Amino acid sequence: MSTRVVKGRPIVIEDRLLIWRFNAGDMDALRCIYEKYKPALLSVAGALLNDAAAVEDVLHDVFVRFASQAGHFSLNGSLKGYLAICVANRARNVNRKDRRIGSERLTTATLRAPYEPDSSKAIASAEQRQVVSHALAQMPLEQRQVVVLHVLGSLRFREIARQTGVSIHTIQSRYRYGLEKLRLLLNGEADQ
Amino acid sequence: MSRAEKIKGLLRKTFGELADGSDLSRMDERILCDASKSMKQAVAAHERMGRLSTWRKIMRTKTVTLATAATVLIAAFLLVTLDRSASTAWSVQQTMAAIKALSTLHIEGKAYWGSVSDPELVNFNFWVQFPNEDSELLKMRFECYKRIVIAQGETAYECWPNEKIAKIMNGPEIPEFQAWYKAADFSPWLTGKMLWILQQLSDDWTEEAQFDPSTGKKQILVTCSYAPSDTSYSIVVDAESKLVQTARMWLKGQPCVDAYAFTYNQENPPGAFELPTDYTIIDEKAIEESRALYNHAGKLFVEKKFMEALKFYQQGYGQYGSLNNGQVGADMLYMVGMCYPEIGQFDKMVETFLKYINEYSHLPKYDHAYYCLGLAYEELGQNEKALEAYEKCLLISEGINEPDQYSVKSARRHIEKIKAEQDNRSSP
Repeated sequence: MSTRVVKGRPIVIEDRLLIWRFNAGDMDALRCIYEKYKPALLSVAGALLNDAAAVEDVLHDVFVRFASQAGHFSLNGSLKGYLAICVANRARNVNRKDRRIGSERLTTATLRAPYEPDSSKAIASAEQRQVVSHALAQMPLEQRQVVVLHVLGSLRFREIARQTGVSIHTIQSRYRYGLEKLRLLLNGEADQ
Repeated sequence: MSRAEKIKGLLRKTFGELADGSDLSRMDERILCDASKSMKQAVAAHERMGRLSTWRKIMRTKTVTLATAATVLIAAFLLVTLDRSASTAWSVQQTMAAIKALSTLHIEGKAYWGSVSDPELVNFNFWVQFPNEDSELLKMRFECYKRIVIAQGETAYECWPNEKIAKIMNGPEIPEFQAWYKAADFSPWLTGKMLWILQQLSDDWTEEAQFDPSTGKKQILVTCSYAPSDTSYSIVVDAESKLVQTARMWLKGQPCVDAYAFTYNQENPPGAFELPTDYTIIDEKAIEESRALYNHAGKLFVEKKFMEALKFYQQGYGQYGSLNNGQVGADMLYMVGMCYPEIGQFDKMVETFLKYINEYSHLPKYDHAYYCLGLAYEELGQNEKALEAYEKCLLISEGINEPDQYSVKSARRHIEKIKAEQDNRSSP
């Protein structure tokens, strides 16, 4: 038996039901939404901020703000897209604020994943993260956001365009240029 | 692997594992705790706002304005007949006898409706059937061109004739209506509160004997006012029957109600206190119950307890199938249909969505049902029927749904896929 129906349609239904229950004040629904989208949102926030405390703060702010809309939350598009864009916007604000106060978080950050255990593997992955994060930090903000949302948030260009209010062609070109820029900045790192 | 793919792979490898293998329990706890608090506050605030806004809406409705006007008239009528026992014209025994003899009342008049600066003059009719041997219920019907309110005992129906919708109002059980019903003590119109207000506060009561210019019969002209609401009344009472003949009301010095005809003990129009059969009844209590059932089933569905969810959706469909113009039943049946593929019963899925299409084609979103029907047929290998269903989905959606709407887009994709498969098979 094909699972197309089983795995396709109910995902949409599930979010619809979750939002319905969320609006009715069901704490389980909030927990479900959090658990369901946490991994993707952590990836997005991690790539845009790369600071454990800032990542946690951003995720915290996004979910508290989302929860404050319970009772009247309505959605135009996918829930994942909405939350991912919220995380990206919040991360952008954090980065801007950091630049204003003269902190160079992205270039001098400790570059450890949140709560990463200390081990040789972890150290190696932290080093890799440092290189990739450094490259990401040098990219123009708009390009970085599109690349991260598309690759790590698994958002379609159409969804990013809808949520950000920018045309899909602009989003696609930002992605193309962003990926090319990242390739140059990584200087063969991806080939290893 | 292309370079772009390699870059994407590197990004996923670098940041995609942040949530894996890490102990995020402290972070989860902090976020969920604060989000839960925020959610509780938001839901409570939303409920408060909802209640307030419903109450404001009720108070702003023109029906209420007219119902209040009718209340005043009835109260004034009762005031004249029940009160003022000190007056020689109306002894308590006389008024009690007059009331006992009444079986029906019909008031016809005009009321100014809308804003004070630009009021609209509308005709209204108000019928009352007093409790009698056949029925112990007090029945009332208030009607103007846009709204009809029918009361049968404690149950009231607010009807919108243009939309053919009737809303059941169970006053004591609906929070938004509690205050209104308490004030009215029985119904929105025959209000003890208003009677009490007029009894206690109308201090400029005057009576003047006069003769009806057309019939020459003796009348009593009563005038009074109620200062807190800035209303004044002029009521003409027949001296012989002790019953009101005409009544007028002014609000802030402007004419508000002119009840120019009071008719007593005349047979009321047949069916005046019954709801027309073609009206859709909105029963809020049942809607509330059905919503709870739907939510419960939805919770089971999300938890992937599909058999249990199916049972509740089926129960909901059976119990509330026609509620709210079929909307509730449609939602239940739709979800019944969505449970079947989860347990691998695509034939039942077909059956359910055919039933849905048959019963709820009057509802705006039944194109989704055709889409699901197509999916079920496709799963059963009946591609011709699937194609037909998808095409029907597109046909119905034309001009209604956006081209990128889920069912439209997906139906189009499935059509292309089936046709491509057919082409592949036919090509040598």
